[in-house]
Amino acid sequence: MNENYTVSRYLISRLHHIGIKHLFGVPGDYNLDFLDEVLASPIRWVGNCNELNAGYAADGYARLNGVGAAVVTYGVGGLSILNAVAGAFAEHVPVIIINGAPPARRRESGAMVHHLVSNYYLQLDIYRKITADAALLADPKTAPDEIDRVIRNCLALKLPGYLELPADITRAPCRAPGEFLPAASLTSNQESLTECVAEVAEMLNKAKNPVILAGVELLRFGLGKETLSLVETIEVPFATMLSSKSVLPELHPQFVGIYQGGWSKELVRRQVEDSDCLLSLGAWMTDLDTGLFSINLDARRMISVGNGQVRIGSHFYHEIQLRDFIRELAPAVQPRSYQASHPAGAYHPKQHFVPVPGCGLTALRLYECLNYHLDDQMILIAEPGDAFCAAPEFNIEEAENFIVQAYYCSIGFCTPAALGIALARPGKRPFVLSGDGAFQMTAQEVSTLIRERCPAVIVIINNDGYLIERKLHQDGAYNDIQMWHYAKLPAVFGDESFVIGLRVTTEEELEQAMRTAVSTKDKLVFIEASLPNRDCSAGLDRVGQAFRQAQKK
Amino acid sequence: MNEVKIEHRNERGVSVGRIAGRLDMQGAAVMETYAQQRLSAGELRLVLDLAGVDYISSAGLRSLLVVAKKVQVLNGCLVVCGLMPMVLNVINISGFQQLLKICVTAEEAVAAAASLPE
Repeated sequence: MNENYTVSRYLISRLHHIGIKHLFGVPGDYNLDFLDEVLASPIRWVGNCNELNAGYAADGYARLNGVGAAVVTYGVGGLSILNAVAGAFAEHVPVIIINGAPPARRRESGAMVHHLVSNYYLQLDIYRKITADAALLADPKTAPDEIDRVIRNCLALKLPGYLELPADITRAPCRAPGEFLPAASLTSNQESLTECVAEVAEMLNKAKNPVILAGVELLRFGLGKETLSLVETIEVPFATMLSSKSVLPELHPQFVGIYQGGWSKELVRRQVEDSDCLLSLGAWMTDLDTGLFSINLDARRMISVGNGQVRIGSHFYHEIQLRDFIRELAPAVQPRSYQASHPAGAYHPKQHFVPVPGCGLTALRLYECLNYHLDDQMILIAEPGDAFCAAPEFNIEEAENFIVQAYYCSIGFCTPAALGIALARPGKRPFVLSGDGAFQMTAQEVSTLIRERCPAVIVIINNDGYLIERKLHQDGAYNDIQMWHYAKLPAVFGDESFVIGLRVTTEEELEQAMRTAVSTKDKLVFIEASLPNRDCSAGLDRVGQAFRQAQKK
Repeated sequence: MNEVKIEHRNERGVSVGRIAGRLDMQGAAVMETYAQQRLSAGELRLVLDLAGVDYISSAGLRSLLVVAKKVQVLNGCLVVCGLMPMVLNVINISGFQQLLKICVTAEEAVAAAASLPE
């Protein structure tokens, strides 16, 4: 034992070591001792309005920082944050949850303490199902090893981790941290890798019109640069998907477009589906990424790499990691020339947005205006709903400037996530695009954005309720919500000197509001865009029609 | 391996980089570093003379776009000139001629850069 180290200090030391500079969460009596230690550490405490928001903020932080963490208290907190952790698990985002628990001696006696649901192991059991690893730190002698193991597995698998910390263990002495051995990164079977790369290289070399489909796993495992290098070395055009939009720069001569099966632009769909050798790197074929499974890809002409294996036609190579595959493939393929291998369609620059005087706002014009004003210093965060249905049309020129929860699709994610994104990338500006229904889920977190002086831009698409649900199914009163005075909210939440709240109903008002947002870089700018008649993007109309047709079958 | 070489000169207040070699991944990095050095030195009127470039890849073209964006953010101006047929063809196929100010000769490019507002 080392008297200078306690379990909480050990844990904080490890969190700091792996790159965590901010801890999100909500205080509760079971975690207060731990939070005292956090305040005395180099890690900055960022308190949230509730635990769900803390989870989303940690998720947003982790997507750019590589890992995030949140602190909650037993039961009421640990169960409130579950939805955010489930989302992180589904989307492979490494978020570490530290749950302050009743003292170990109470657990041993089975005492009926506040925040207890039924038994002391309920939360641990639940978290084991939605994390890479979970541990109850009941013994200070074993706690350091358990902390190291959970963190290692979390980082290696890009999945959440869970640490339950009883209040009386927090200040218990433990050994000092030794060298942190990173997770033995998932390794490839070299023999299998060599054979596989040779086969893939031969296929690519023989192909007339190969295409790379860059998927979301590349984002999660931080392989954007390696993939860009592969594209530029072998000179093969690439498409991305909604979930992987901006894993590579879209302002690139080899960018084909966003592939979403039957929802894709025709030129993009044809180039991907007609390719005689489609190299799919880390693509997840989820419903929304495939245009509700409207893809038409011939497995015989396809190489699918991801989840530790490579599938070529009908045969598999196992134990092959994406990173190793990309690294070895680049020098093995004969480079093409751009003249012979490039996107079918030429680049189209963003169109200047010129407001029509006196013209009321429509969804189409709203998105055209926002797209025109987005710049490289903004990170667009698109909420499930009309926002992410419109998102494929946005020109996100540089990598890492777009974030979406395209698979788990939990509405309300974006506003709290913007907090994590702002703190992970202080040089950039989160740009939240959210519907009114989604915004009402987690609206309080605007107050934390103000408190933390995050100069976000928040655009609320006020289309009067749960518009996506109205489109997916016959409409009903359950899709109605209370109409808020959204533009007045920032002032209610706090310091009016830091916020600008605007409501726009015409093209001219929107253009003026966006000019204000772009030029006022040091304030939070909140724009309520009021759309008439539940107007929406062409993308949402398409999604609605596809869902309704699927329901009829 | 055809290493990129860049000859630098100043003309009428314009920084001119005459580039020779292949603008592939390696060459693109050299060109980007050169442009960044000029911009860091406060030289915001830039001409990239590609008369000696006989090959450009997507990496080389992407680098031109990156430089163009950096110049734009600084309210400077970038003019590209001396494009060999292969290079011009690549730029036209990509559609990126819409984002680049292109002149035929270095003289025209310098004149254009000198007259363009910063």
